[in-house]
Amino acid sequence: MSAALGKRPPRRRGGGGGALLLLLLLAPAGLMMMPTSVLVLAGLAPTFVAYLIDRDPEKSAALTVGAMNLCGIAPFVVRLWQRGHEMGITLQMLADPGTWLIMFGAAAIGWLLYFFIPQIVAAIISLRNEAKIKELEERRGLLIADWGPEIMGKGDDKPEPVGLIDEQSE
Amino acid sequence: MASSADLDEKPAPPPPRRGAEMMATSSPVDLGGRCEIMPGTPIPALDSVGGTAFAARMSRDRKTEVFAIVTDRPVPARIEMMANYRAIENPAILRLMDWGAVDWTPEGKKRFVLIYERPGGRRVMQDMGETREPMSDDQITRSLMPSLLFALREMNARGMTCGAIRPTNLFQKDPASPVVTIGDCLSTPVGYGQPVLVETIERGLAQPAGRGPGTIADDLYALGVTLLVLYLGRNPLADLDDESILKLKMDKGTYPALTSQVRLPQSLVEPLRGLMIDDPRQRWSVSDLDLWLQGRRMSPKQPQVPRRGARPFEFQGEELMHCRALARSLTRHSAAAAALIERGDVEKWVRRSVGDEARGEAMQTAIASAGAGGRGASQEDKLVTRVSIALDPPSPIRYRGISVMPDGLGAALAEALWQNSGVQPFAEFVVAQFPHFWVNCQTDFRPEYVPMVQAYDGYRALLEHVGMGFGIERIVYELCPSCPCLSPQLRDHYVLSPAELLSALDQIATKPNRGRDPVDRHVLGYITTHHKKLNDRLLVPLSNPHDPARRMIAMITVLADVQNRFGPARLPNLCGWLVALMDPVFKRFKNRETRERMKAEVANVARDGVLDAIVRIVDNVDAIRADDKGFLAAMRQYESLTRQIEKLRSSANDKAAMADGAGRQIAAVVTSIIAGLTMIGTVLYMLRLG
Repeated sequence: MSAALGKRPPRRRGGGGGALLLLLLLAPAGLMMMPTSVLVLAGLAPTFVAYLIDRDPEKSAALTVGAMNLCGIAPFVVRLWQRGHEMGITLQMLADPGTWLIMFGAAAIGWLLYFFIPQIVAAIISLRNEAKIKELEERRGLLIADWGPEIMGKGDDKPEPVGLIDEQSE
Repeated sequence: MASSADLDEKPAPPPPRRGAEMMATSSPVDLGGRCEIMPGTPIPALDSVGGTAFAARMSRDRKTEVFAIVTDRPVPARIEMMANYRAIENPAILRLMDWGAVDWTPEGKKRFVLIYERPGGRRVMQDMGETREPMSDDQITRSLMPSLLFALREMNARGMTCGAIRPTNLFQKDPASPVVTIGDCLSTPVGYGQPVLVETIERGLAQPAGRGPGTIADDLYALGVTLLVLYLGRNPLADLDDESILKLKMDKGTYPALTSQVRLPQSLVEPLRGLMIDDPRQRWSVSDLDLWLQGRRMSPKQPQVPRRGARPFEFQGEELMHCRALARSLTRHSAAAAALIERGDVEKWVRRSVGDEARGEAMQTAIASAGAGGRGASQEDKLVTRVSIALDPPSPIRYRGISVMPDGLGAALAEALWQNSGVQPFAEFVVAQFPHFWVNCQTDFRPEYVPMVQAYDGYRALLEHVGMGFGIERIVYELCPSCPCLSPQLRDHYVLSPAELLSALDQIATKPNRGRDPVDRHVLGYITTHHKKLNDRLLVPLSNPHDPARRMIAMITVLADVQNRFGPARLPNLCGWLVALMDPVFKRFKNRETRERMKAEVANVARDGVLDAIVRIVDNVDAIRADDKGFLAAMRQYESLTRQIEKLRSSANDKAAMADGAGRQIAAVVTSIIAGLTMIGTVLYMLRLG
C-alpha cells in the first residue's frame, strides 16, 4: 500500500491558486469577524507548523493535527461569540495560558494520534497477514500430503507417460 | 553330461525311509483320477532308463495290468510323441495307457510318469554284459525280425522314431511266448539310453542327450545290432568300453567290428550286414528288409571301408588314419589343434595323404568362416569345430565339451540347465552358426534341414537380446517344447503348460520361502515360447530395473494374458504375492487418495484371483491421465500459494512502509472523525449551558 502511495505522482502546485482564492474569499469575512479570526489564527499555529513540515503530499499530518487543533479552539470561539464577539475578549482569552494549553494540547493530541494510529494499523495488518500466511501454508501442506513433495517442483516435472504400451511407442 | 555307460535300466535305489515317511510313500499317488501309482511297490524288473518302475492300477480298467515309470532323469520325456505312440496298436510295442505329472509324495515333488501295460514276460537281457541262451536264426528271422520291423514301420508312419531298440529294452510278451515287445522309449529323449554299441557311429559320438530324433535308418541299425546280440546270446564287444567300441567301429566299420570274431549263419549274414552298414544311404531300409523277409534275396552289400590316409597324421601321441578319427581327436585338444590347422598341416594331410580334394575345400571354407558370430576368447574352439565338421560332416557338432547333432541341441541344453552346468558353450554354438555350416557340409541334403537352419537363425536373433524372455532360457524351450519349465523355483513342480505354470506359482505363493519375484528368465522364456501371441513389447519394460513400476505392470500383464488364454480361472495366492510387490506401481499415482483407493481396490480384486482385474485397475489410462492432470494443476496451485505467501511475508516485514502509507491516512480519517464528533459535542454542550 505504501509503495503504491509512494509511486503516486505528486499533486500539481495548482493547489496554491486555490488557496489564494480561498484567502481572497475568506479575507473579507476575516476582517468582518476580526476577534474570531485573531483567535483562530493564533490557535491554529501548530497546524500551520504541521502543514509546513509535513512532506506527505496528502498532508495527513496537517489534517490530523489540524482536526484536533480545531477541536481545541472550538470552545473558545463559541465562548467569544457568547460574550459579544469583541477584540478585548479575544485578547483576554489569548492572555490566559489555559487557553493556549487547551488549544495546543488538542494539537498535541493530534500529533500523538498521528504517530500511534499508523503503528496500530501496521500491527493489525501484520496480524492479518500472518493469519493469511498460516492459512495458505496449511493449504500448501494439504497439497503436499495429497500429492507428495514432488509437487514442490524439485523432482522431474515431466508428466508420467500414460500406459505401458503407449510409453514404448513414444 | 551322462555317458551311455552310466545309463542302464537300473536307476540308483532310493534311500531307505522310516515311520511317517513310509506311510506317505505307501499311499497311492493319483494321476488325474485316472490311475493310481503305488510308491511302496517298486518293480525293479521293469525299470527304465528314464526312471524307476512302480506298480499301478487304472481306475476304470482294473483288468489291464499296468505299471508306471516315474521319471527321474535330468532330461525331458518325449511328451510331444505320446499321443501318436498311444494310437499305435502293435503287439511288439508296449501299450502306453496314460501319462502326466503327479505329486510324487515320497519326495514331495512333482514327477512325470508314464503308465504302460505290463508285459507278461521278463526282460530279454538284464544288462549288456549278460550272457543268455542264444536265439536261433529261425526264431529271429521268423518271429523277432518281422514283429520288430512292423513296429518300427508303424512308428515311422506316425512320424516318430523309437530310439530305444536294444537287447535290454525288449520284454517277452508272455513267459512262454517267443514274441517280444519293445519297452519304454518315451521317458527320455531318443537314443538317451542307448549304449554306444547299438547306436550308429555318428550318434555314438554325440552325448546321450544330444543325439537328436534320428531317423528310421538309425532304428534299423539298432535293430541289426540287437538281433546280432540276441543271436549270439551275448555282447560281442562286452569287454570293450564305449571309447574302444567307437574306435573299433570307426576303424573297421560296424559289421566287421562286431562280427569278425563270430560265425553267422548264412540266413542272417545278409540282413545283418545290410542293417549295420555305416553309410545311412547304403543301409537297408524298411522296404529292403521287408522284401528280404518275403523271400527276395538281394546281392549282399559289401561293407564300406572308410577312406584311409596313405600315411598317418600324428597328433597328441596318436597315429590317426581316418578323417573321422582325426576330427574327433582335434576337438578333444582344440588348443593344439588350432595351431596345426592355422599352419595348414591338417589341410595338407587331407589333400595329399587322404587325397580328398572336396574335403580340403570344405576345410578352407571352415577356416575362412571361423569368425562367423563374432571373434572372441573361444576363437580357437570355433575354428577347430568348423574344421572337424568339414573333416567329418555326418558326425555331431563338437564344441567346448558338448557334442550334439544339430537337431539334438534342445535336449542337451535342457540337460545342462537341469544339472546347473554351464550353458555358455550352447549359446556360442548357436551364435557361431555351426548348424548352418554342418548342413552346408552334408553330402546328402535332406528337406528337414531347411526349417532347421531357419529356426537356428531365429534362435540366434533371440540370443542377441539380453532382456528377459530372450536368451538361452528362451531357446531351451524353443528347441525342446516338451521340456518342463526349469526355473529354480518351479523345478519340483514339473510344469508342462502355461496353465500349470500359473498353478505352480499360485502354490509357491503360499510358501514362506518363496522367491522375491514370481517371474524369472526361465518363467518368461517358457511363457513366450508356449504363448506365441504374447505382445513382445511387454518384454521391454520387464528388463528395465530402473523403472520398477512399469516392470511390475508388465509382469502382471504378461501373467494376466496367460491366465486369460490358458487359465486357471482363479489364482488368489499369486495375486496376493504380486500385490505385495506392487508398491512401485501404486507410487506411480501421485495423488494419495487415488493411491489409497487403488490399493483397496487391488486388494479387493486380488481375493478373486483374476490377474486381469488387477491390470485393469493399475494400468487404467484414464486414471493415470487424470492423476497427471491433477498433479499438474496441484503444482500450479502450489506455486500460486507460494507466491502469495512470499508476498504477504515481504509486506509484513515492512512495517514502516505500512505505517507511512495506509496508517497515516487512516490516522487522518480517524482523527478527523474524533475531532468532528468532539467539536460538535463541545459546541452543543456550551450552547446549552450558555
